Amino acid sequence: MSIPDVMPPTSPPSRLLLAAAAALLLGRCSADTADLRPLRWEKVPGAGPGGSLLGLGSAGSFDERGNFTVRAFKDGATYRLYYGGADTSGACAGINSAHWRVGLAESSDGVAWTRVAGTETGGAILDIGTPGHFDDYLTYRPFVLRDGAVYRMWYNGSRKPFNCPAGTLADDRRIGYAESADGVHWTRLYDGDGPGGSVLPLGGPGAIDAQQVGYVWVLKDGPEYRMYYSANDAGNTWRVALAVSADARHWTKVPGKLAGGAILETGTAGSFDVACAYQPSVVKERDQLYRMWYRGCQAPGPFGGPSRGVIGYAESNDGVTWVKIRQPGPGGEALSTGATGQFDSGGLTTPSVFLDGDTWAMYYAGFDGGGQFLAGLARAAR
Amino acid sequence: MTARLPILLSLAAAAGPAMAQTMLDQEQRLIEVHSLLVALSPVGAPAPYRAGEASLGLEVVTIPTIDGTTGGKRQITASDRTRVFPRPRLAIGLPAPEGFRAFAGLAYIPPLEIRGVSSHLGGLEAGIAWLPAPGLALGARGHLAYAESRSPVTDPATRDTLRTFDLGADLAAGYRVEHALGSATPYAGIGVMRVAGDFRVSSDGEVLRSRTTELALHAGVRLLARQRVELVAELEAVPGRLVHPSFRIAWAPDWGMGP
Repeated sequence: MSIPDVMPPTSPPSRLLLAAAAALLLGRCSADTADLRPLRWEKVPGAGPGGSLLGLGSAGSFDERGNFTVRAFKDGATYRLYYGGADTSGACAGINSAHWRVGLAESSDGVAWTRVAGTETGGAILDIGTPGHFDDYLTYRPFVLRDGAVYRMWYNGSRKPFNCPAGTLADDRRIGYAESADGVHWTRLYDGDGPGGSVLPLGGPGAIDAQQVGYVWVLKDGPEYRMYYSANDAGNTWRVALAVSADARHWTKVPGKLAGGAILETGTAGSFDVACAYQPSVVKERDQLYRMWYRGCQAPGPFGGPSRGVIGYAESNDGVTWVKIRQPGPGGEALSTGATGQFDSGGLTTPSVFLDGDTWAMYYAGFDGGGQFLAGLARAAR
Repeated sequence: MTARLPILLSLAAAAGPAMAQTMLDQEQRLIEVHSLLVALSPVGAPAPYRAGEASLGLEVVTIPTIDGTTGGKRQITASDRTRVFPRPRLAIGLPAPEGFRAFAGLAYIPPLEIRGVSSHLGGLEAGIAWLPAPGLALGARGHLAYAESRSPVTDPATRDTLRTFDLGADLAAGYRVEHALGSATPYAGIGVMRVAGDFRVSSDGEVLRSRTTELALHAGVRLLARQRVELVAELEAVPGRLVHPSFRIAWAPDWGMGP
């Protein structure tokens, strides 16, 4: 059979063949699945002691001894920083015997803050509960969600001092709930499904949340509210668990795939989060991309429970199944403790992250070697 | 110039920037790479068949090493299972106006499971080429493919599913050179592909989606022996995603239905 369309050769075919073969050989066969490129957090020094954002409150104020357990977000053009503050009550050192209450500061740039004088004790915006309630000694770690016309606040409550006498840890933390129309004046509601009208029931014996619950982060994801909460077992180990709700008031626990139904477990031996993995801060950046920052503890405290602490990071496609992802910090953490002399040289707690335009902002609490708690800020380019 | 163009294209594509940042980016990139592998690449010079000519053969798609690391996990990828996959392809020359050639083709893989992997694929293509001068062809081609692949990805004991729909078009130029033993047609082209991949994790029903539109470059050479045996070697590059060669060996009968 003849070759169709015979035409005279215009160049040596062997040359073209060689060229094509060389192209195939020289072409680097590859499939580029791309490397991870973690966020690079940079701490932003504030005007407070050791580079913190807020100094101590004035004498007699609810936050005279320290500020910590932060939740920050941008509300319109104003940055709002809700935080826990410690007064000077009690005989133990630092914030250990103090009453803790909730305060508010505002800012136009997220760095320079002005306290909002609340109408509660010492200028707080949410006082401790009245005697007999689950939050009558400590009311702190506010998580505020602006939900349409309503500001919703979930907070930690306890009937015991944090660590006073030394070695006697608060082990009765519960989740409280309050509402507000302006984010400043709040009304508590003791009508939850948990003990004493708190928000969330404890788990049964042996459960990961058998002893305490707290440090929540609530995400409104479509029609569903998701509460990422910290679950504390009888051995005083903290992990992250999940509950969901249709009305933000009544919650159903959703067991995760990890042991005991956790969605985030402590790390393996030698990891930065071997002793605790809790205090989640969750952002749904886009469809199928959920980011979580959390506190990880390198070692148990001298009396059990967490100690020290850095900020770890995990990702999820559905907000339920999470994968820890190594970050640039020396131990794989996203944010490390500060240098000696910095307010956060001893450890980090309660990350609160949000996307501010093209910049990620992480507010957090840090403490130094002397147990002084103050709030700080780190930022990362998107 | 003809000799250097494919080299430059392939090197440029291989050096594509790694833009991914998150685990999700890596997961979607894995979906895209696997989807692009099954897209119906030309593996042939622009519209080489006269009306009545046909090509019945086997395409061999090579699979480069695919790193299955996503976040802190390690997924099983296609290259962990095999480095090539064969795909039957059929093309036939269609009647076309004077100075033009047209063809249509299809590819099909039945859903047979081999080593725990099955891929059920169907693809269609059609093209037309203008022959402005002896030996020279300038062609346009459209193609689409749908594939459903089941394989262990997230866990060796599971069968996760990747559903892929690829749609694309490309432009190509080829120049046929005659030789005593047959003809050789070096060719090169550029195209665009829309790739939609849905990856379903069988253990929890979660579906990961990826939608992307990518530029695709290709260059190769088609050899047609006088005995009607067709051999094609082609390098395809999707910048930042994939560079890999494919090959085709086919019987190309001429049933003499047209000029």
